[in-house]
Amino acid sequence: MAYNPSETGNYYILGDSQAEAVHLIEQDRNFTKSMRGLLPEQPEQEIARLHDVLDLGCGPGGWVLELAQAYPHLQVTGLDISQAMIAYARLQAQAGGLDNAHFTVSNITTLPLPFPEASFDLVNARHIEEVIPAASFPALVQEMVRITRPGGTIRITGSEWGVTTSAAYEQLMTLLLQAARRAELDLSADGRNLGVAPWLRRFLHDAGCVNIQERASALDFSAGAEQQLSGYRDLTIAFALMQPFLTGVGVTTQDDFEQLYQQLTLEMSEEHFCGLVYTLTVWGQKPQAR
Amino acid sequence: MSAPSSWRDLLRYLITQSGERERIANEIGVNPVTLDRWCSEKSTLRSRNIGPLLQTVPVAQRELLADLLTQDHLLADELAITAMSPDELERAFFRQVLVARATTEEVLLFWIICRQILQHALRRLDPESVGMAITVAVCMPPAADKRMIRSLREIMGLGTPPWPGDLEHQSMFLGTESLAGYVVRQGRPQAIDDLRAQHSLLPAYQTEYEVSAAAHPIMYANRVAGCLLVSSTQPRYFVSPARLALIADYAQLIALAFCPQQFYPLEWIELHMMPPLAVQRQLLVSLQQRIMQMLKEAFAASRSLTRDEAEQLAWQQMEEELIELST
Repeated sequence: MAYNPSETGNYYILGDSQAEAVHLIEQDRNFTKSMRGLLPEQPEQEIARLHDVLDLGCGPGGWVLELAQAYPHLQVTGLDISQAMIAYARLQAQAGGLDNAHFTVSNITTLPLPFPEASFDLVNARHIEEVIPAASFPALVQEMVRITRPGGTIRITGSEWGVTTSAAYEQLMTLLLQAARRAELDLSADGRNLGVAPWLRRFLHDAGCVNIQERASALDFSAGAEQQLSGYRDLTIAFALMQPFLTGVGVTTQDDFEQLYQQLTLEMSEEHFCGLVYTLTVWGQKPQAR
Repeated sequence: MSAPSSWRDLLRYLITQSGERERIANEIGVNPVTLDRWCSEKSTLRSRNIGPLLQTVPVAQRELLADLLTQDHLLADELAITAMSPDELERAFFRQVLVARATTEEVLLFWIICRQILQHALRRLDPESVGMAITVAVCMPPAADKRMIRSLREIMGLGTPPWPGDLEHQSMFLGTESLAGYVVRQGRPQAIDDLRAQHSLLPAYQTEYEVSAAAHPIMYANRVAGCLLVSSTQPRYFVSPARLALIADYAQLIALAFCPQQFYPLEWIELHMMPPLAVQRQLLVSLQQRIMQMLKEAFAASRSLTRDEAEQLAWQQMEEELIELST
């Protein structure tokens, strides 16, 4: 499918295909592992007190499915714009007999969200910076607060797209950031990074959250690291899937992309290859009603 | 009442009838206030409550309520899927695999289809997460100067604890000593109820955590490409015919990920005994180094060699060395 968010409202840069659904489930697993869990910053006694959880931009439901399985007392809802992603998630939930995992098709850039005020104890959003325009963030965070119960948690995780020793990776990232800027996805001053992480605390603060905290993690896919192979697979597949986005937005040609892609696979196999993706989770509470 | 325009209108009317609010709430297992909140859109009706709600309302209003619920676009899709029979759910999943096969770039096709099937299979076969590993083992393509298939190689796998989620980095070669090898040689599925027992007539190399196992060949046109190997921490996990039938379905679906030249006649399968994992690991750690060495040599000789081709050559090189070690 051509990348045309102004008409479709769909900002999936990897195409929201079945292949992307499969890939996102794997990517989700890698991020969860590098973040040390599904809700690593939340004490178990806090999780025990939760009942209703929402995940915005849930894709094929990786986080929702894992959370619903790990904590059967929770009712976990995932929301995403893509019919294909939600269909994928629902069949996974049915396969696992997870009747506490629910999925809804809706666009997170079209507000209000289809939930009554104070519906959830925790509202989560992971890596939505890749699928919504940067300008949509502040209003969306306000909306997350509206649908969270007083005393409940709003939690956002964002990443930068990695730093490595591979020249091809860095060139591909430059192209990707140029494309992101053209698609109005980035929040940086000069387009040299996505720039979402520094904003997260401010978004929560401006939306009225209190007790705002943050936690950083890194996904290490360097040669010899535990996540080398899964990182290699994830990135090579992600780059292959994003080729239509890069060529569609007009930052490269197919031939140039393929040459860089081949170079990437070689450089990521080198003995001294190093690569990291940084992730920041910021969370805060909706104030208790007075 | 006048014709209700939504399920909320109808429910609001029903719970104003004497005693109905408490009765309906009681039978569904929710607080009566929750019914009020559903009606006033202050709370979301969950899919798990839809069935009980339909069963609880008077028969005369049941069909109307069902119709109105399906008009709520937020509930309609979820209702459709929860109403599916197991057969319909299987068909829906098969359709997703076929769509992936039709729309995925060739270079990604094998990985995407296999992972898609493994993701579904793991949830379906181990819904309680009692401990399962599902692995795809493929016939090692013979080197240019050879014809026979001498070993299988585990190329990807997914697991639930105690196994890690992604088993790809635990890949090993399998030969005649393994259940996978036996199944590929015979072209028939097989299961072992308890690997701890000494009396099994089937070959089985027991890996860490593995108590029972089942394997099903991956076939096309009476040729074999490898097998789907499922291991459980539980004894007798594969006694159930329904579970074995599911494994057969998944193995037959996975055949869609392979291209015809990856399937070999059964008479070409001449597996060797492969050394235990501890021995194999000493060689397997050198994979990346070997790949880079081959790429450097190819570059120095101005020979074209992609990373994937180099990886394949490295695996063949290690297979040869392991066979020599075990003889």
